[in-house]
Amino acid sequence: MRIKLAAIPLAVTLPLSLAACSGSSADDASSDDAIQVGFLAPAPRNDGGFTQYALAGVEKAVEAGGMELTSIVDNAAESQEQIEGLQTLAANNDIVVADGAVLNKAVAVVAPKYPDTHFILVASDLEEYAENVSSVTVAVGLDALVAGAVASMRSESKKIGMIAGPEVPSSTAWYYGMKQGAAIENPQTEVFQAYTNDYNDVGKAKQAAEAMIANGADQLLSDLDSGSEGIYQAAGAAEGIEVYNVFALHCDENPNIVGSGVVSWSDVLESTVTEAAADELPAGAISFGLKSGALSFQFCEGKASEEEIALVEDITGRISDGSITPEEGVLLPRPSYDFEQR
Amino acid sequence: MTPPSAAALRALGLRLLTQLAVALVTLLMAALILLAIGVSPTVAADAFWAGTFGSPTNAGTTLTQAVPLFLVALGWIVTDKAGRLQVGFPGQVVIGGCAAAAVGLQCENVPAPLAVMLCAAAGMLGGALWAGIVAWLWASRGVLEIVSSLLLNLVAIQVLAWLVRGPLQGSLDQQPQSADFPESTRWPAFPSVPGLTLSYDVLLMPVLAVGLIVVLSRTSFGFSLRASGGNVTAARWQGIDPVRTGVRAIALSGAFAGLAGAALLFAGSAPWLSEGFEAGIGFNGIAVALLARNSPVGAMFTAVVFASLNVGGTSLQSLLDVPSTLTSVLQGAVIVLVLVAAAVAVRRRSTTPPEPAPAPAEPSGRVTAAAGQGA
Amino acid sequence: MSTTTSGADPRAGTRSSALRLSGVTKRFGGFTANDAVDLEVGWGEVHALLGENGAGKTTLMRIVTGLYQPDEGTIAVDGEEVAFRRPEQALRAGIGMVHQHFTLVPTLTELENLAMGPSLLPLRDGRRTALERATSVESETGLRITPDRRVADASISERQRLEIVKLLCRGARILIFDEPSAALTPDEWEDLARLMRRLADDGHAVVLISHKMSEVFAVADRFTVLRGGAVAGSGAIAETTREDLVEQMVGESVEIRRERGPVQAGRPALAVRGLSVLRDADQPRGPRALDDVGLDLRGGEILGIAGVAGSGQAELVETLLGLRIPVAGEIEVAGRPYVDRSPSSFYAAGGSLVAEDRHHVGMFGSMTLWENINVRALRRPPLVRRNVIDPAAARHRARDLMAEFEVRATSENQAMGRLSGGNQQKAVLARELSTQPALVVAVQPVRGLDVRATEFVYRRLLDQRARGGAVLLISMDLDEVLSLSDRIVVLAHGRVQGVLDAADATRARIGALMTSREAS
Repeated sequence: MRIKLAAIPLAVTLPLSLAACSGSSADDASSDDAIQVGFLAPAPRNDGGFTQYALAGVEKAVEAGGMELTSIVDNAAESQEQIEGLQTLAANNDIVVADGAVLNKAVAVVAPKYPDTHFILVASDLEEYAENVSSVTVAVGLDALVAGAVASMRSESKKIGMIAGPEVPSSTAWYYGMKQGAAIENPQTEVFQAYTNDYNDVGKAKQAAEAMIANGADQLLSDLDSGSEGIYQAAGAAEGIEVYNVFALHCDENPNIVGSGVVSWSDVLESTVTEAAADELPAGAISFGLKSGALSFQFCEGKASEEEIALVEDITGRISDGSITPEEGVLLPRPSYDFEQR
Repeated sequence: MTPPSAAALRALGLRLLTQLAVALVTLLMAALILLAIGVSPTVAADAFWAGTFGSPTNAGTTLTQAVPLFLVALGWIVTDKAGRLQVGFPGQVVIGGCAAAAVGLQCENVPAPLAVMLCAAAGMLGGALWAGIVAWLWASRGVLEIVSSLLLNLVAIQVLAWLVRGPLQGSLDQQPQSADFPESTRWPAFPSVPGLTLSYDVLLMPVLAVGLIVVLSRTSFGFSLRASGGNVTAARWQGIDPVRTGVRAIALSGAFAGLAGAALLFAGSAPWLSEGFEAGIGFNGIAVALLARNSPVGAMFTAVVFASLNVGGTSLQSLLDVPSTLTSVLQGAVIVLVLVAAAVAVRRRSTTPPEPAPAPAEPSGRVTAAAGQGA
Repeated sequence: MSTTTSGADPRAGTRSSALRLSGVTKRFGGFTANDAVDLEVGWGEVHALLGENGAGKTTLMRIVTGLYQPDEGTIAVDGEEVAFRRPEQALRAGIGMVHQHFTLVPTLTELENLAMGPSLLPLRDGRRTALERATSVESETGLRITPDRRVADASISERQRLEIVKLLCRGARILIFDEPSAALTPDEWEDLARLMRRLADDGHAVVLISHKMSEVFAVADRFTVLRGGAVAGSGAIAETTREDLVEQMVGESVEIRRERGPVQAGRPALAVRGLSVLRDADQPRGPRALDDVGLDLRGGEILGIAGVAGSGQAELVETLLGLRIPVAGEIEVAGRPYVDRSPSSFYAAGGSLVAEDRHHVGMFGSMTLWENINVRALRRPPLVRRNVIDPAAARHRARDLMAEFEVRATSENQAMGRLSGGNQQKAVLARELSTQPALVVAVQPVRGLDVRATEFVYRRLLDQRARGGAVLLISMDLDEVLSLSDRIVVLAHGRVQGVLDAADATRARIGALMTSREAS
């Protein structure tokens, strides 16, 4: 007992004295000439999707611009860990890419402490403007607009649908976009929406798809990850059902796939990192749209008719030149500060 | 009190030696893994040190992160002394955190000291009530506490997932996060540490360690608790109600875990509720207690060790690009080695003659350990 | 002593030997549980194995069924010498034991329980084979099972029957029944007795472990009596008498009655009226552990309760502590009605208890001596104020009591589990007697103690009597009861068989009452 009580002051003083003796080994930014880039993601770096594509874009920019990608911190799922990771990266790099919407708060905490580091926050906006943060998002609703028009044209029943995971703005944007696009092609087309609350639940996705098919829909857009398999199964079990993917082309996954509202995160990251390295990337929010080329509607090979290709070009053009104005819900809510639509 | 005898010192030395051996084997494994992925262990050690204790800022972070681990360890120690096997700490941390967050978000206009106390109290209450379900099921229905507490962990995680998407959701683009807690609710930090990373809640460690030792050894509640844990039948026959004692122990243990949840949210640099905020401390806290052989004072040190493993792991990643899985492997290795060390100790104990044989004077080191304070 | 050798028995020669033990010795450390035991059981015979508790019956049967290996001696089954290392080997040799606690799975059906067991192909469904075997057992013995009933829904005697069928299905030919009537009603016992006879008549060998004379005389052909681990006698039932067997079981010994003053009966300490307690609380119609028991004990008196183990002693103690709820009866402690029964109210009413199973219910081995001595004192002033313990005062009190009760330890901080058994018991006495209780319940208070410690305990109990306190001495050791008690209550089968004044009690009289036939 006495030994133990004696250990308590020791236990208190030891860490405190450790904390007091300062040694600043990690706080200097790079002494190299090459611009240094750090990358942090909440997901694994080889997730086969969002993170992997973004990282590929960063790597392209780094290679072309003679920069150095010093460290990759992935699997940072917990806020505290994200903050620590961002801090260490910020202390040692000129540019830090925070690749994930959940990082918005962590970036807001860390960025003010490292004014000389340029943060690129991917897929989300900050709540408040920060001078050294550029947040990049993609206007998926514009892609959805084109997809909606195409689906409406291909639909025999003039009923089309969209199935997504959770009902959040980035998902509902696909619905509103499709709705507007379909209305442009044919005002009679009906658009359905369904949310499974889980990007990867095959069973729920299948149920949702079957319900839509039972209601007459013959064109289904899947805003899901592995849950898409459920939609393929439902489509395979019925006649004449066609499926659209998002973000990337997955034509070899199923013969019923027509095309995809492609979002090239790789392109987005490549151009933003390159601009940031040249000190040309403005702070504030940047939304990438069809004009930038990072977003595009693409068909699987041999699926499209001339007429449909022309439709895609026409709508894309009209959105880019401003003659089609996105309706409410198609674009994500804009932040109150500097905003640029590309 | 008698001065420690040679036998007691030998026992203590042996115990320290075991713990040292655990540390050495862990280091060796770490070095091997690092070599295997082509990182020099010395460079890694530098990076690890820089990230954990290399600067006051980082040392502050490490110590602050040790607090929740330590609190969970205390929770484990309480139920262990009472002879109950409660492993619902992840759930109690989560629910304690949610309760604290729910209160904290409403504390916009409450003055700082009161707001801080309110959040801490809400956390403890939340954890205690969640553990109370386990206690109630055990006391009234005879449901094994280990089973119900494990299952309630899963429920708690779902509750959190719902809260951050539903009632407590408060971020701009509907991410599963709450709004930031008001400034007044955040737990203050030592102003002398740059970056304000060292929260005042590290003072909880020595205070609560001593407090728990005093409660266990100097109060009739602590006495009943140890008696029930030592021999539940004898306790009942001596007029102590082991059920009542067990219920209180489980609730107290939950309160510690709930406070850990509040500390995670309000003392760290991420003052908002997010889905993964529990970050595994519920189970790591058990390992912290086991490594400290269920001693509250020892848990202060082992909690710092575990926290530095966490923080140092992130630093290894961001400085040397070491994969994040390595730290998980290391922590797993530590837990396994602790269990091995514990098993070795148990076997040694059982080879020494058991009770009724006329055991001659075998003085005290053991006595105090048995009396509930550990070493 | 009327010992007949087995060779002299006329019936033994006509039957070949099923099981023969010669010179079997088993030691545990310094304690000899079985000392050169010879036992012979023939085919077609019901053999009663008799003896007091602790006489070595259980150890011997564990050796026979392969749970223990003998240190010396040999076992022969059907004339062939065997050495069992595991219970399965004994079962394969045809030896099966019907335990007091059945080895059935309550949630499975009777057939499924039969089908369970070692088989060459673990995945094979053994139910069909089991049913065939059960049918053939039924045709041989008339034992019928209800294949699709869950064991949990079967009564105790039905479970026992299933246990027997299970053993027969597995080919057991030597059946050992360990106190089979313990949980049975008289009618059920009659059925079982008939069954045992029938099994023997069919050529099986049956061993009946019992201490109930009525049962032994009803079914057994031959007997062997164990006392203190050794054979005290064996022979044919037809050639012996009840008194003979009792004497062989309890032995003869010098009766040392202690010097003590005349009884000065003081205030009533304990009164029990019409107390009835179920043996198994889940079986409201099952047998009773205590049946209409009445006791009267006043200050300055030691009341001994004699009886073989399992006569209801444990249930009496647990009822006094409130750990068992009786179906009927009233209790008064220290002259006041004791209705709201719980351990703490028992102690509060002036009771105290020196429990039989010290390690299990009487002490905290991992806690210190001073904490053990003060367990109850640490729950009220002056050692505890506002829930805070005063360790200095508690240690001081412990030191005083250690001196008074001659507890030898390095210090009051020593762990209780580290003390010798005698010192542990002295510490328990210190705890129980230091409160000047009106009533001390002492159960086997010297079990496992050496001579000096025993003497100390006896002296303390007599001191309690001299002080005007009452002692309820529950013991299976007749000498102990005889030497200490003022009056003796003989308990058998949960009933009071008689109350004797210590002055005119003898071993023989008590022994006769202990083993008397239960009222049925």
